[in-house]
Amino acid sequence: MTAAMVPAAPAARRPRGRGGRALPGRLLRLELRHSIVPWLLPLIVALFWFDSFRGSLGGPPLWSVRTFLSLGQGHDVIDFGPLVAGAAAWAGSREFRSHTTDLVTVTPVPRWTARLTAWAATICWIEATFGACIALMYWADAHQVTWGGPPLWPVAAGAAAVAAFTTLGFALGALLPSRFTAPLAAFGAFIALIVSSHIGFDPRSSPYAQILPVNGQGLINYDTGVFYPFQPDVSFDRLIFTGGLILAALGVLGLPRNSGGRTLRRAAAAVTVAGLAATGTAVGLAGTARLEAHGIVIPALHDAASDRPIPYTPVCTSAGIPVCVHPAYRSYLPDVTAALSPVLAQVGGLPGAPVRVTQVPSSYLEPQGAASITGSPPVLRLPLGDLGLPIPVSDDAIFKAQVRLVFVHAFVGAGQGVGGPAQQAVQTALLTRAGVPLSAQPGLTIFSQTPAPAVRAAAGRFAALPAAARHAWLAAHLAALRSGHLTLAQLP
Amino acid sequence: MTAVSTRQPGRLPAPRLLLLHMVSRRVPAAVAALAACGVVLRLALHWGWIGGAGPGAEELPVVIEAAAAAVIAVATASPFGEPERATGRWLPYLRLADALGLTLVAVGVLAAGAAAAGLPGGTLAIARNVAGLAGLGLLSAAVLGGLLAWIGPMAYAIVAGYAIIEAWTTPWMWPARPPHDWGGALCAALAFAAGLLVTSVRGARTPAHE
Repeated sequence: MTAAMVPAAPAARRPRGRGGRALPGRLLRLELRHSIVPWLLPLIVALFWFDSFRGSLGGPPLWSVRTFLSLGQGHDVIDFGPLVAGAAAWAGSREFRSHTTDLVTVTPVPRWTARLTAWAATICWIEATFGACIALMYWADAHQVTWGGPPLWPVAAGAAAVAAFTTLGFALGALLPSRFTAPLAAFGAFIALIVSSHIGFDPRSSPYAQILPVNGQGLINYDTGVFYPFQPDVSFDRLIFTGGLILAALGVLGLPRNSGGRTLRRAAAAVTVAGLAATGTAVGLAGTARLEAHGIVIPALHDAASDRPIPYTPVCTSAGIPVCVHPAYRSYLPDVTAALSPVLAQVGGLPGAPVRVTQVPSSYLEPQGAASITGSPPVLRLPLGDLGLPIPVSDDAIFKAQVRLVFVHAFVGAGQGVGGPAQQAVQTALLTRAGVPLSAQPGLTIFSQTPAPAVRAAAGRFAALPAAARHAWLAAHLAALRSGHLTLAQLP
Repeated sequence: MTAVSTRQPGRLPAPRLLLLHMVSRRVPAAVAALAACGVVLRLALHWGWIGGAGPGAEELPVVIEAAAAAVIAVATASPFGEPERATGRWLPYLRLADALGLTLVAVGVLAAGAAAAGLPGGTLAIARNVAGLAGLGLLSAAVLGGLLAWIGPMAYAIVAGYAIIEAWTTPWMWPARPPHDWGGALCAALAFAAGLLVTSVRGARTPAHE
């Protein structure tokens, strides 16, 4: 019989007096001082810098893009999760390693309390480091992003996921101590994260997969946080899920007989059940997730306020006609104007030609949405966030060619597809005359493909016409061209 | 264990001595853990998590190989601490046999797990990666101690993931190199040889309190 078998009731009594009241605080200070986590922090911080931090600095100056890698695809969790799970398992199995299990079981502090204190010290170190890393990343990004604010709910969800990995690792170390527990926790977490990432990238994955911490599907696109707020539903759900996992794991720590008195163990059981219930609820809620125009919505958690557009005053300039973009895209305005000028010069004055260009938000439901010319007078609505925004922002030939393409595509009325042969031929000809060579056009967006020989020949003939003749033909046939009724043979 | 080696100083260690040494290093549990790595690799291949287009498709085999290397490294921890070093001259050979044997088992079970499932790189890549990662793990054991030796392969696997994605060409990131690449194989072999040498001669670092 070992000391672990001694009835635990006396151990549940706390020491009285001033020293007894201060015991948890003193224990926490001791645990903080003796934690292994600070020794691992340089490695974790280096990984975070190498992956999430560097990745956040390279994108266009939009919060959505800057945070997509770290918070959208969960690289912050990947950087922290495996190592903290291993470190926590190491911390949890400390008594096994130092052969003091029996010794500490008979101390006045209940085992559950002592373990929770060690867990709290581990969590304190890890979460403080996580918070500092994210704060540093946001601080660096804030110097380059000129509009809006960073998303905060994904940070909370990431912190909770890191806490969950820590807690699960700690519980594994405390309950199944062996020399292989720490690597099992660390590599188990690593494999789980990679598999989770793999599932998250599969567009056919179930809505339940939204619960996975590194699933970036439908969470952030370029215009999230620009035209409309970041949708926090999935972050809320993940918080409930990871909170439940943490509670369940902490509760399980208090279930063994040597953890404390009967009351404590009943409390631990209640905490475990509550945690499992929260986890199950979160999984159930994830199953109701659906993709809408502004991101993933979970009806039971959705706040209609997050659907309201964010007010802004457009930034405008002139390319013959006013060209207006969202202030977050201000740095792209010169490129957009320069890109549109050659195509606007070809179609200016035509009936149905736009008299204004305005940026509209991109939509999750149309991942590469087309521009459109609508209204009276006609306005070109340009979803700039769907194009490949260049870095650095100035003088990028591909970006300019994309802007010209989406304009001409909308002008010929090709809609959401590649358009009919005549529309393709006119689009190709106008782009060629605007300085986008035929060889560079296929693949610019999903609306441009390698033209068929007949289309190519018709485009060549149309492009060879004098500018005035093209303009006159378009003035006479634009409506028919847009309706899709023209054939290649009817082109001049 | 050590009494045998002192009674028969001129002979090879008896099978019983080798067996006792292996048990003291939890080699049976390590073999079970390596078998589990093989099963995970097989399941990952079966469910299409490896070799597809998604993220992790190329990194997952490296992580599983690193897990196997971590098991090999953690198995170097001695439960006896400092006193064991003064108990005979067979200890380096026993350590060498343990590390070498476990590495062979690791390559074997992972190759068996990947058999007939089309793992990119095949058995050659498994052997190179496991050997190199095991070498790093053994070096970590010499520096950090056996029980913390998993940190080395883990950190390397994380960096190797980026090396694969970003197509680094340095041979020191051998998982990112083709299986027939001599540079990668040489670096992995060097790491393995260095790990074997250091851990066999000096053993895993023993923490002060042990």
